[in-house]
Amino acid sequence: MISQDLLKGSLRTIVLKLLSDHGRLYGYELTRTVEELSEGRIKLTWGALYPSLHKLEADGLIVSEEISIGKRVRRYYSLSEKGRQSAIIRMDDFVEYIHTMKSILSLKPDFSV
Amino acid sequence: MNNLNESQADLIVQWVKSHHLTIHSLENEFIDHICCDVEALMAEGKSFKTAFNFSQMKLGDNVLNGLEKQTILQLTYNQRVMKFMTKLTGIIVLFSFFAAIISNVIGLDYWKTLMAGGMIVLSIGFAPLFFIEHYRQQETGSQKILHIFGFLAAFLIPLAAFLGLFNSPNAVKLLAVGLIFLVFGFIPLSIISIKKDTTRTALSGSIIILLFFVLLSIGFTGLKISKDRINSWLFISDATKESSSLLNDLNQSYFIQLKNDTLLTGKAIEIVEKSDILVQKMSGFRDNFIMEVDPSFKEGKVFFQNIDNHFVGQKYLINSNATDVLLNEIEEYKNLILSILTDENELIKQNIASLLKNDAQDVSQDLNSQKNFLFRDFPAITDVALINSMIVNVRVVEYQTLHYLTVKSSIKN
Repeated sequence: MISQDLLKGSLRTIVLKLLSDHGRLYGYELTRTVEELSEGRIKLTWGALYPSLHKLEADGLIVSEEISIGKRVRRYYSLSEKGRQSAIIRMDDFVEYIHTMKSILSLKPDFSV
Repeated sequence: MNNLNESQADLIVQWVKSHHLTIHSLENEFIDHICCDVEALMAEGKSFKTAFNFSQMKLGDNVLNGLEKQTILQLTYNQRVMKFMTKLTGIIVLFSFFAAIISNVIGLDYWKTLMAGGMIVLSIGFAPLFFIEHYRQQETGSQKILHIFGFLAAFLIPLAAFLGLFNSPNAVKLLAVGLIFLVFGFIPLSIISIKKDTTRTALSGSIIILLFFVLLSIGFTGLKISKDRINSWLFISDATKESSSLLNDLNQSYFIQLKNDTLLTGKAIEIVEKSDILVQKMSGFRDNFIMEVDPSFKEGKVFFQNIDNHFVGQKYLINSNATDVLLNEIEEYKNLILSILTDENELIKQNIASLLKNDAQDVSQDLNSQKNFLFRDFPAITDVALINSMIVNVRVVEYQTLHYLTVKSSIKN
């Protein structure tokens, strides 16, 4: 399981990337998608996810749309134009960050297949 | 995945609503999230009751309220920082003004620095932050305009006061513009807003107006010059007067010597007479100026009773015809001396001319530029010291001219 501390700085990038790939997602769906893609190693907590989603919306990076499903209302999130550009930039930055971290931590590719 | 029936969904809705969340969209999200979670657990074979209990346990007590609080904190971070900075800069401004008033009252010299610091923080810190914070809260166009007027006035008036402290002539222009925004924009719109019962605007307006009064009263009407500085200017003024008198005595002795030289006596008489007349006129000019600034002024008094700032010099010296007459007479005197010293070397003539020069390098030769340069930005006490030093320069020129004539006479004999 990856610690929440490590996740903290990457959460916005993860959300933007997933919305970029999937078009639109709601909160629960986002947590499940992350869990599946990370094979259970990343679990997004409520405490991290919902404040971040609302902040991203307030910053104009994502937009929301509410759809009624019986007694409940589902809130779908998708990227705004600004968010689409930000997702690309953030992904580039993140890839660079990973390369840098690899260099700093002297990580070597694992060939033990 | 098992879908919840209406009563099951209702239970979850009621439970979330029992937390009395204020962000409606967040409340909806929590309901949907728990519903999805319960449905997933039910799909694994758990009963609704077990699944819901399990879901609640995962969340823990008061998590929903905590989450809402955290969301609000994230969303309002910028506003909170801005609010904090507004308060902080406001406190710094008030503290600086308060400290400046106290320093001024007890005669400390730091008051100008404190006022200047306070005004800088007010102009570039508190006023813009206060404006942005309140501007964003306004919904109607008229309220937004009101805040723009308020901001412009709050920015320009302190800036004018700040420049005024350093005797800048632009201070008046800025003050006038700031007052126009205040009197014809902010105050009328504030009154209209108060009538409409928008207490917030009325309160903001009152705070800004209060600050204006503090600034106006301290920055302008109460502009005083520290006692130490007055004493130093008085000292310079007295010292130049004394030098002038000593030089005059010295010049008299040269004049007596030159009386024996029949060829040079005429020139010596002309120099002494013209110098005396010019010094007399300059002294009269100085005394008139003093009496205009403060009619009750008497010799030995610790200077002017009236407000003493650069506006006084502007009014009585720069905008006066008497100054034009005096500067022209100094120019004529200079030409007379240079005509007498026709056969002296250029360096001596240049030195003498520079003593009677009414302008500085790079300043245009026209009379208005000379006046503006000479009496610019100075309070009356400095102008008096300046006129006295000009009188000394006339006596020095007289001395140098008589000295060279005496040397010439000695060589000849």
